[in-house]
Amino acid sequence: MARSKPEGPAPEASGGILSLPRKRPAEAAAGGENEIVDACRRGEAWAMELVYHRYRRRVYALASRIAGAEDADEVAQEAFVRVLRGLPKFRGDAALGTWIYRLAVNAALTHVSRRPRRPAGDDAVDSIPAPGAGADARDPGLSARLERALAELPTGYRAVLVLHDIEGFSHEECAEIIGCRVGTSKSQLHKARARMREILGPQLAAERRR
Amino acid sequence: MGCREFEAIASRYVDNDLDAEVASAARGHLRDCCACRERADDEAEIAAAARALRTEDLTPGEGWDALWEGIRARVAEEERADAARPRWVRWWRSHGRRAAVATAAAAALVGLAFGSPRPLGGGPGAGAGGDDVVAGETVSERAERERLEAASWVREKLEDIRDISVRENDYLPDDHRRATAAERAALEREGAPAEEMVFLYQRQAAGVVLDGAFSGTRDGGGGGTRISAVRAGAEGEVHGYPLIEVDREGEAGEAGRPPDAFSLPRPRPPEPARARATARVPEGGGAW
Repeated sequence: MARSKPEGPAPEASGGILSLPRKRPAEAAAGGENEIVDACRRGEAWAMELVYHRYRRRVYALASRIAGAEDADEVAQEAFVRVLRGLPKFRGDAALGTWIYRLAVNAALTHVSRRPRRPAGDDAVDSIPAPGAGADARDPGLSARLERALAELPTGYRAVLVLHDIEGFSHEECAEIIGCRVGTSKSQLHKARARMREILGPQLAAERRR
Repeated sequence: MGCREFEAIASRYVDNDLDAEVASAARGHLRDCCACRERADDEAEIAAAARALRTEDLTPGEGWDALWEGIRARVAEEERADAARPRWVRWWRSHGRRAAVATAAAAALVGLAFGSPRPLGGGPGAGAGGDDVVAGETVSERAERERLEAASWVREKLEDIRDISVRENDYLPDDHRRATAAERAALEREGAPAEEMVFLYQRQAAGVVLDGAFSGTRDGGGGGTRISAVRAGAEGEVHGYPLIEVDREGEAGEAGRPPDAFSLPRPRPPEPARARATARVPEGGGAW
């Protein structure tokens, strides 16, 4: 008995992530979020790659600053695997970006909670990105010290501080990404900055006196 | 405004997130208080330096393409693993846990609808088939009404299950969790609770089945008291912890997570003690 040909688009068009076409349709590149999500639901590889390209920098930055630079690759990979595997079930209750950042933050927090505890400040040394153009123009060293201090914060504080102060999300967005109330986000940021001040304050005061 | 008051709002002052009156009072305090001025300067400097950290500087060690290749490989590997699983396992992983909760709830509904009437309360005359009139209804009428209410609650719960998600190995901020002071201190010291695991439970109380999940520490054993699975708009408490928040990650949550359910009966209006049959969760942290 002849087997009927399965219906649906040809493998080249929807062959999943293995048959990734390098050229993505121009209209999709400029397309909206819904179009990309729909294409991901259909398993179209170009859409998945587009999602990766659009969100990789911020996801990687969140992974690096919350979980530490040495684990950032692993966490970012885990976050994107969750994103790509979860996209078919994405309901659109939140913006795609918010949902992706939430998965990234969750992946980072989960990673931190599962890894063996390190001595305080240990990962700080590893997690300092190379100071570069992004450093504070007034004091390039402050950026490095800030990254070190950041690594000493409790994970929850760190997540809020990274999202709000570094990534520039509003408290409403932070709350949505972390899954808490806006007031909680504000109070966590307050505590995070207070802790940062405890760590950095003496140096800041000394520099001001100079 | 005093120093303690300013300390509480320093961060919002720096972010210019205060009402005009409060901001004015804060400025007035800063004119006279050197210590608080220094605090505000520090916080402003930290916030400015944080803003100046550019995410563009952070790139994967092996480069973006290598990271993408790794992601593709992982996804392909997981898809291959999915394909290798028997069909029932795939079904179970995507629907089974939720179906199990729904089945348990449906069984409870059937039990409540067709089960024998239970004697209610412990008051005189209430359990011996006597039909005392309390608050305008007989005990048997009350029993019937409560069964219907409970059945209605279970139906609502089945609806609620779709909107609930549980976050495993999660760290919830202290204000969020309403943890005890000791737990808060531990969280702040440790950064996150260690070795959390999610327990599923089903418990029958006063004829109502409660389905849900909560997470606890391994150290705490079955009596773990870290609650992180809660229902949108839920009221009530478990082990003395109020339920206040819900994670809306929803259906897009990762595979391998526990059933998405945590429900408690809605509070009922006060009733006379003698004919009362209210589903209650025990207080005091006993094991489920």
